[in-house]
Amino acid sequence: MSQLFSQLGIEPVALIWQALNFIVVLVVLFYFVYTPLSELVAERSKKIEKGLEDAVCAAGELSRAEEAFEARLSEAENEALGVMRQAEQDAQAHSQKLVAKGEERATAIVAEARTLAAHARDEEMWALEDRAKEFVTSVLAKTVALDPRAVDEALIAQAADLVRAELHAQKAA
Amino acid sequence: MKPRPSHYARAFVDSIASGTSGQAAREGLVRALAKNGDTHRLAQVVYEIEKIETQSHGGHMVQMEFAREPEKHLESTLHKQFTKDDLITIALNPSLIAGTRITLDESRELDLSLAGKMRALFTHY
Repeated sequence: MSQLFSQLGIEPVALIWQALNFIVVLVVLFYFVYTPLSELVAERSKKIEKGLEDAVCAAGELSRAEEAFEARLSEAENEALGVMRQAEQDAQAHSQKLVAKGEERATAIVAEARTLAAHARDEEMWALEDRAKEFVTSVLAKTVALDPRAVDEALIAQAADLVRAELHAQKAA
Repeated sequence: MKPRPSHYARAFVDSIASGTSGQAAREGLVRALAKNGDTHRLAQVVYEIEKIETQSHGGHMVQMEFAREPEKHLESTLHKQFTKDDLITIALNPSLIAGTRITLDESRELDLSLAGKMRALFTHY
């Protein structure tokens, strides 16, 4: 064996020392390089896994948020539609009310105008009637003035009869 | 409160009835009118005295209004309807146009004037 080592140019002692050196280096590397690197890699893996999990969670959250948003949007649309319908109904009702009020006012104005017209017509009729009465009276007065005695005689005879009847009635009473 | 013409008249008639002479009653009436500042109402008082006198004898206060001076026979036709106890006053009122309007005891009006007939006619039609 030692012959073989010598033929190969290997010193056994040096080999042992080199082996020992190697082991020492190996131990040192294991404790000071490999272990921290492993921990670092493990930690990094964990972070990546957590990041992936978080991403999945975030995607889920996003999906839920989108669903909620869609639901809210739909609800808002429905609400807006309802508000618009209500506004339309209100506007229609208000419009009908205004039209009814306008019609009522128009009817009142027409009635008032009719009343005024009737009143004016009545006044004209009364004025005409008064003029007619005055005219008839003046014509009769002029007619009577032609022969007042005859009219007086007739009327006073009637008055005498009426006085007689009146006094008779008073006595009887 | 100022006395009315009827109050003066009643006082005058009562004083006459109680035996006061006509002259004294007249003087008393004039004094009372002057004291109350009612001398301008003398005509109304005299009318009230006449009214009391007439009614005390059962007569009527008769006021006749004519449109114009009546013919004598027409006036007498009307006068015949009344007695000597009735007090008749006559007035002219051209607004009657024709005929007469007679008021009995200030309450009953017999309107036989043409104006009255016209008014009645206009009222009905």
